[in-house]
Amino acid sequence: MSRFNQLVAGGILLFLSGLLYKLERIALYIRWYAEISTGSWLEKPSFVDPFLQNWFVTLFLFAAIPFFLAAMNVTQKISPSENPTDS
Amino acid sequence: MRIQQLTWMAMLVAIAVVGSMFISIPTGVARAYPIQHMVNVIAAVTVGPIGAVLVAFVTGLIRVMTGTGSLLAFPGGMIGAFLAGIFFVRTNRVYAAALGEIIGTGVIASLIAVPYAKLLMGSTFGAFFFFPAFLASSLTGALLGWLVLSRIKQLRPSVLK
Repeated sequence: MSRFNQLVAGGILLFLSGLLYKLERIALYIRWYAEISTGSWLEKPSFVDPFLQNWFVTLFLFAAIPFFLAAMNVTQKISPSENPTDS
Repeated sequence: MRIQQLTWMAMLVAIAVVGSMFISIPTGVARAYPIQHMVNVIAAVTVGPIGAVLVAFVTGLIRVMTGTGSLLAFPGGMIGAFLAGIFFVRTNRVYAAALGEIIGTGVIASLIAVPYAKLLMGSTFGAFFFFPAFLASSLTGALLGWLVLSRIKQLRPSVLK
């Protein structure tokens, strides 16, 4: 897998993690607004950690890290041969 | 159509149907089924746009008939599969097929799903209601399909020749 592909894969996973986290927060507020219409509601939405509620947020976040690390390793391996003046 | 190609397509349908039963991602108020999109990308690369649409259609049909999917399985699968196939035919690049799947499902199908749901399911949603769930689902599936295809290509099966 090339460095570009690794960076893209890592970026997509990181984006997905953030997107799912945001969607969980949106769903939390939707539920809270639904509670408001019932007449009795909490002062703030009962915050449940989306990291624990939706374990895909954590999974995608940690899955992105190896891709970025691999991309950085590729750079370190390639750089000296591609740029001999660096050494 | 060759027997080998038909068998490959049947296997892809089976993977999509069974995978959708077990693997789903909660996306706020909805759930995403990325295996269908992974199969779409693989089908687009291996059997072309028409074959990919056929695979998506049969998968959707089986999922609706068995009650594991809603009527949204048709636009959610077929549009992305077609666009992935077209993108791959034009560019001959796997990432283009994945991009086609993301645009086809995440953007076009999510917008088409709104009038489709109103007509056939009687439900009314805002224009971008399906957008986040479809985008998350297609992104995950396209990424999985891309990663799987990069390994399949190394094995060089006869369906890829």
